[in-house]
Amino acid sequence: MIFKSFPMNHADGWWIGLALVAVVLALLAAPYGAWSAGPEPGAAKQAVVAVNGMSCPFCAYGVRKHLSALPGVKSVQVELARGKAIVDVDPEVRLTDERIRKAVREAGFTPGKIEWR
Amino acid sequence: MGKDLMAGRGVLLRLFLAFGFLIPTTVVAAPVTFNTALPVASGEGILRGQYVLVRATGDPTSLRRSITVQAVPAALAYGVTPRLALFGILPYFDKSLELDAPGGRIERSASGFGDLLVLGRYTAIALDRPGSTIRLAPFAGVKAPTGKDDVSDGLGRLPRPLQPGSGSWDGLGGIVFTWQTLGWEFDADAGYRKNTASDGLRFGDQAFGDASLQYRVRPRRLEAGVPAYVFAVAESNLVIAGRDRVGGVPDPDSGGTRWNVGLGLQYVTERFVVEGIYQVPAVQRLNGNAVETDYSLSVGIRWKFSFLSF
Repeated sequence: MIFKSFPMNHADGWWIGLALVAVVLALLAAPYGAWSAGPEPGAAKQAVVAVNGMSCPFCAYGVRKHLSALPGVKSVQVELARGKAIVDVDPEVRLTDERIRKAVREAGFTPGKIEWR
Repeated sequence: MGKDLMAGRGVLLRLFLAFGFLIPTTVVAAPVTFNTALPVASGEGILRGQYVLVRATGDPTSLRRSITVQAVPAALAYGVTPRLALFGILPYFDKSLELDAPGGRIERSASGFGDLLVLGRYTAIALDRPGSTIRLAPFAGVKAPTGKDDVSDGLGRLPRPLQPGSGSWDGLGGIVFTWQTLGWEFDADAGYRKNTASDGLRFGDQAFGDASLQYRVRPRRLEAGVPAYVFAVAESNLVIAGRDRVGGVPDPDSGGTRWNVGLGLQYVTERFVVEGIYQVPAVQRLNGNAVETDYSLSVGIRWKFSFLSF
């Protein structure tokens, strides 16, 4: 009965179909877009960031300090041999990848890949 | 007798001037005897203190001159940006000279703060890879005549090389290269120091070049976290100094070439470094009757802190 009150032809149907497909694709893509900008609050709790150029203990101090100063960061563990810093983040705070990369640059090094888990 | 004494004092003055460039007036950060191109993080500070001992007794004359220089340079580095770091170095000197004089053996000495050196270093090239970095950084600085240059004793005003301060504004500049990996580090620099005149004396300009290799001997394998390192260090310092000029006239007993080599150790943690190095001259081609160096010893500590949170 509802459909009878909204007269449609074949062209309208195609447009509605395409719109529905676009909405579904957008819903599927949303998690990946959010990953590159940082996880939503309540989601992932730990970021593992590659720190390129960090090669000695004396260099690790600046990396630790700058990452620790980011909002929501509870602790930072530096793994010198692996060239990584593991950042524990308050799950209620959204911390973006870009802020993490900026902290590594401020420490004097080059940020690499960031993985959230 | 008076004329002999005056002539003797004239000879003594020339010989005093002869060891002028032996005395360390710039002692900059790591490796041990010079700077690196490694970053000082933005808002980070590094405090460094050293004790440096230089002994020189290689006197080609019959005066049996013996020179001892003890220096305690204090340095502060600050990261203005990740690429620009500023350094301030202020030494405290204790210098003494013993020699045979017509009236017997005498000693002349002076102590006090030396001249303040302020340097800026900018990282022009940084190639960062996992576990390694290659950097190139030019540096330039100015030495201000903050130290005393008019200390006197019973024999009158001490000769200028024996004074804690130089009395002159001087400039220096150069470039430093660093290649660091998880297992070793190589540093090298080259530069030039331009001295100006004060009270008719101008110390000779200096061209310098340094190299250092640090090899990690402990731990043999890197475990988790940030383990403390022990580095074995080999360093080389070359200085080519021009002649001093007194009243515009070159002093024949000044200047020359000295190449020092040394071995040392560093203990490196995330927060501090403790280090020491022993150096001897491999080559000394000093002009005229300048006193040759026997050895130099340097020990020190570096401590990192952050202005982000103490």
